[in-house]
Order: sequence, then structure tokens, then C-alpha cells
Amino acid sequence: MSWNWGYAGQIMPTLLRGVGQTFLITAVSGTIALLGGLLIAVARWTGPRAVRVALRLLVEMTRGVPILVLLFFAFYGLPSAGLRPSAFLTGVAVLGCVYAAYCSEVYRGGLASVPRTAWDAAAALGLPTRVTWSRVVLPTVLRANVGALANYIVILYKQTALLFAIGVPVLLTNAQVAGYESFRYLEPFTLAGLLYLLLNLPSVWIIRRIERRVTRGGF
Amino acid sequence: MADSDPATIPAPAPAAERVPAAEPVPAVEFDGVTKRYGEAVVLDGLDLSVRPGETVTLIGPSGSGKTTVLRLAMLLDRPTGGDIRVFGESIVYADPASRAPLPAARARRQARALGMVFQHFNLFGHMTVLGNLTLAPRSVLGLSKPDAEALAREHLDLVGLGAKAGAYPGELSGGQQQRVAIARALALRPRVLLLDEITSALDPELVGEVLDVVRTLTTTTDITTLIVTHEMRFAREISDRIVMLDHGRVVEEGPPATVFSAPASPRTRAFLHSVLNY
Amino acid sequence: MSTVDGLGPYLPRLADGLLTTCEIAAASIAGAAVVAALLGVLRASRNTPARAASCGAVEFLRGTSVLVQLFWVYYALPSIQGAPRLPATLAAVLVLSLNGGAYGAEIVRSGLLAVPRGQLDACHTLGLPRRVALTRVVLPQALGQIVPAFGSLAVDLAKWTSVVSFVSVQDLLYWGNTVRVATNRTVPVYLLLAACYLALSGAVALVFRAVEYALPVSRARRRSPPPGRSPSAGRSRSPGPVASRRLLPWQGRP
Repeated sequence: MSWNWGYAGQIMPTLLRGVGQTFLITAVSGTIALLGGLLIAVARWTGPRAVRVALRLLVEMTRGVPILVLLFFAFYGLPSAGLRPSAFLTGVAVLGCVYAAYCSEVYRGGLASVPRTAWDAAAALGLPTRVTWSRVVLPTVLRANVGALANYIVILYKQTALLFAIGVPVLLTNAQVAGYESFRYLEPFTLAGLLYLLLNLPSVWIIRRIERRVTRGGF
Repeated sequence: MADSDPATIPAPAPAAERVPAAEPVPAVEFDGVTKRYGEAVVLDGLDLSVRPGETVTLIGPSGSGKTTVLRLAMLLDRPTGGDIRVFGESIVYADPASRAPLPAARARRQARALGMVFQHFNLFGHMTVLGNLTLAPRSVLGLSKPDAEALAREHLDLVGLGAKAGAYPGELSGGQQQRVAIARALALRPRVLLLDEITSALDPELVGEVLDVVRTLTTTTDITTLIVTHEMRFAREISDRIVMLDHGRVVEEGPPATVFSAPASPRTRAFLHSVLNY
Repeated sequence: MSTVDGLGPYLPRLADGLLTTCEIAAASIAGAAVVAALLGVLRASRNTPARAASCGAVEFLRGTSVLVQLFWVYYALPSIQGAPRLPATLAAVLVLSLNGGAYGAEIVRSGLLAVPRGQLDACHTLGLPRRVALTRVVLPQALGQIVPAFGSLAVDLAKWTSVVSFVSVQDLLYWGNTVRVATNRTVPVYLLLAACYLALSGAVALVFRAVEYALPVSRARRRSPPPGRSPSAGRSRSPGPVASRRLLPWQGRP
């Protein structure tokens, strides 16, 4: 069997719809990951002991189990708890939570490396806690770790392919469906792989730029 | 075994023999050597000759090219132009006339006449002191394990660290580490020892023990030493000759007494003034 | 634990699945180590074409996820004329090794480049051949940084093996899904699966912790005082100038 351009062109609209879904999911669950991760990290930094231990356990468990297991667990388990979210919602929530756990570790490392003197200086100026966090601590943490966080968002983008498992129409799902309908897998999977790759290229460039800017101390 | 070592043979030579009638082949000779890194000219047609058994100290402001001289002699870097000879043989060209480069294997063999000690010791941190001293004798000289260990222990004794054979470099003080580095270089029996600011990274109170080792080495053996140091008093005490470099050229050279007490060049005077009266 | 009781008849199947998962994980981690070493050494080399080729391979492999690559190798590759139809397990191990190796290459490269330049200078002045310098001096020190980082990559690989259930390899997740369909007891099945994967992740991490502990650099680090304390600690033990007067004892000097 050899490459069929006509067929490739025919399935392209389907694949591009998958690309749209992929980006939508990356954007939504990426936002959950970045904000949720920050929330977890701050809670682990300032919260009472019970909260810290519980969150630590949760983060460790999330990082030790395959995303697929969590995905199936949520997809088949939530209905038995009386909840019936759509596959899209389930997928976005699971990916968001998993990467929130990863991102929280990045934030935590960043918090740990805020120098003692910065806290002291804020205290000496009599800054309220809220101001200390929002104007002193978080900007420092974000600036030092924007590269690592962006890296996780790129990985998240690639891992959206896993939502194929629960039938969310991401790029890989649409490729599989197209292939299944016509018994030709070469064109759909090759095009899907190339699309994932090509759409990922700008991110490599962007991350490099971000890191260069941060190390230069710009912004 | 040590008695056959050119580096450690005693130097009982009477005065008449120490100054032979004919000039001997220089141990190290720089012949119009130029070194450029991009636009920056580090060495600018440098001529320098070190006689066998001589102790020569290079002094000069930072950036004058002192360390580069040692690195080029040790083949850690290639000159941009000019030739470098060790005991009369080029270490740069296989054939100086056609400027055909020397093959790496032959260059390495040539460089065996030389040993080098660095400012930051560069000991292998994952090996014990004994491991540091036996690695090269075993893989380069092909000694058996017991022979290499005997050689290593003998040289550790030389620097007064025989008891530290089983220690890791991280367990030693800076001064002890530098003495191990000297022993490691000596264990390969070099005929020329290059010492690159070997006390610059040490706490002041540890400088003495390292200089003591070098002093004893230069005064009791006929090993040739080419030293870069900022310890001016030490340089004056042990050197046969002081060479003042500036901007990659020799500005002045001569016996320590002359160079330090009555420098001819105004640049030497300015340099000595700045380092001795800061 | 009573929730697990109903799963009793299926436990042997799940155990088989766990074993398959472990085997694929072990093979993939080993394969990734080999690929990482090859690509990493090339990436750190001074040979420009080799470096470019390795960079290209790494970016290509890291550009897409394991699942996409696995589907391509398993479903699309055989339709190219002359291309092999790989058995599912082999395809899975191949893809996981290449993908893990691409991430590992960066670990190897930065580990090698983190060894101070002075160590190579010292090798050179001692006349050590390049091979000896690499295997006895540079690599053992680079491993101190490479092994822990590769350990967390290995944990990721162990989890990534779960994608093989999509190409009908009968791993832990495959049997978990089958049992869920058969018993309709979603929560206990996936809790059990999660526990198994957690244990596997923990075991992999532990193995690499042990390897790290056994490295020469770790042994040296354990023996050495923390930095900052070493000069004073060393000074008190230093024999000092007294000992160095014994230099070259056979020279017959007083």
C-alpha cells in the first residue's frame, strides 16, 4: 500500500477539527494546572499540618500512577458516584489535576529558593501578608520558573492524545476514527504525528526565548 | 627504582659541570609563539627558553599570557603561530618546514616529558588519593597494580602524605590536595614540571606547606620547573631566572636579584610596585 | 478490603498483567538507557554532524507523545511496503526505549558537560588516552548527576507502559479494564491498579536510589565533610611543613 494524497486531503478537515479540540483542551487544562498547582503549593506552604500532609500524599499518588488509570477511574468511576460529566469535561479535569500536581512541585521549589532576606525585607517594611505574596514572593517564583512551567504545558499538550482512551475527539482520536472507517491507517496516523510535531515546534522556540529572557533578568 | 629517575636523581654536579661549555638543548623553548582567541592576542611572538634543571618563574599582570604559556607547553591548547620545542623536538609540527601538524599520539608521547599542577588541583574527586596516583602509571606506563601502588606510595611520602593514601580528595585540606596533585604529576617522572598558580586557590595559612614541597623539589633535584605564581618572595627565593611578561611578550628577564631589586623596564617596576605595595 | 473480595477469581489475571507491565518497564528502561547513552554522548561531542543528527533525533522523538508514536509504528508502519509488522510488545518496547532515550539524552549530555573542564585537563596532562579519560574519570563523575535524573525518567517510563494496552498487549491496565467490564466494580479495580502502579513506581525509584548510593562519587561524598568545613577540619590533621621536610628522603639531605 502506498501513500494516497487524495485520501490524505479528504481526512484533513477531520484532523484539523481534532487540532482545534487539542488546543482547546490544552488551554483549559493548562490553566487549571497553572492555577491549581499554585494553589496547592501555597496551601502546602502556609496551611496547617493536616492539609500539608494530605496534599503531599495526593501529589505523590498522582505522580506515581499513570494518567490513563486516573482517566479510566474518573470516566467509569464518577457515574457510580452519581456524577455524569461529559468525556470532554472528565478529560480536561483529569489532565488539569495531574499537571497541577506536577506544577505544584515547580512552585514549591521556587518558594523554597526565595531568599530569607526577601521575607525579612518585606516584614521589615511592614507589608501585609497579601502584598508580600502578590508583589514580592510570587513574582520572584514565577520569573525563576516560567521555563519549567511552560515545559509542563508543552508535555500536557502532547499528552492530550491520551484522551483518545475515553473518546474525546482530539487529533489522535479523529485520526484513529478516520483510519478505522476506511481501513487505511498510514495517512491518518502519519498526518496526525506530523501535525503534533509541527504544532509543537513553535513552543520549543518560545520556551528557549522565555528562558533566555529570564536568565538575562529582563521582563 | 627512583634512583634511575631523571626527575629525582640527586644533583651532586660540581660547579664546573653545571655550566657546560656548549649551551645544552633547552628543556622547553618557545620560538616566536603567537596565540590568539578570536580578536584577542594573548601571546604575541613570544620567545622563551628554559635550560634543563633551571627554575624559571613567569610574572606579570593578569592577562599577560602566563598561564597560556604553560597550557601551550602542555598541549592543552595549540599555538596560532610559531613553534614550541621540548628537549629539541617540536610538539606542534611533525615537520616545522611544511607546518604539518604533529599526530595526536606522537604529541602525547612528547608531552610525557612534562607534568603540570593546576591552580584548582583538578584531583579526581571520585577516586581515593591512591587511585588518583595509580591511574596514569597503570594505563599510561602499563605498570602492574602492586608496582603502581608502590610508586604512588613512594611519591605520597615525598609530599608527606603517605598516611592519606586511602582518603578521598574531599576529605583533605586544600594544601593537602595540592600536595597530592604534585605527587600525582611527579609519579609519571616528568623531566619538566609546570606549576600554574598552585597556591592561588589556597587559604593563606595553607600556602606554606605547598611551597615547602616545591622548594625542596627544586633545590634537591635537577627537575626543570616553569612556575607561574603571585608569591613574589617565594619566586625570588627559589628561581634561577625571572621572566616578566606583559601583553604576551617578554618585557624583561634576569636573575631574581636583578629583576626584583633593579628592574630595567618601567613596566616591570610598575608591576612590582603594584603587587608588593598594595 | 472486602471490596477486593469480589475480584478474587480475577487476581491471577491481574498478577499476570502486572508481570507483563514489569517486564515491559524493565526492557524499556534498559533500552532507554542505551539510547540515551548513545544520543547523549553524540550530543556532547565536538563533531558537528553527529551533534546535529542527534539533536534532530531527540527533537523529533520528543515532539510527539508515546501513544502517537506507538500507534504509528503499530498501525501505520506495516502499510508501508517492505516495512516490518512488529509484534505489539516489541513495538511498545521500541517506542518506549526511543522516547525515553530522547529525554535521557539530555540528562546524559548535561551530566557529561557538568564535569569540570579541569578534570579533562588533568587527564590530558597525565597522558591518559581519551577512552580512559572518558570511562575512568568523566563518566563516573557524570553518573552522580545522571543516575538520579534518569531514575525519575525511569519512573515515568514505568507509568508510560500503560499505553501498550491500546495495542492489545495484556498488561496490568488491559486486565484491569477487562475485569472492570466483567465485574462492573470500577472503584475497587482502579484502586487496586493505582496501588500496583504506585508500588512499581516506588520500586523503580528505590532501585535507582540504590544504584546512586553505590556510585563512586557517592562514596566519596559520604566520606567528605560538607563544603565550608573542610579547610579547618583538614588543617588540624595536616602534617604540614614538618612532613614535607622529609621530601626525597634518599637524597641524603638532613
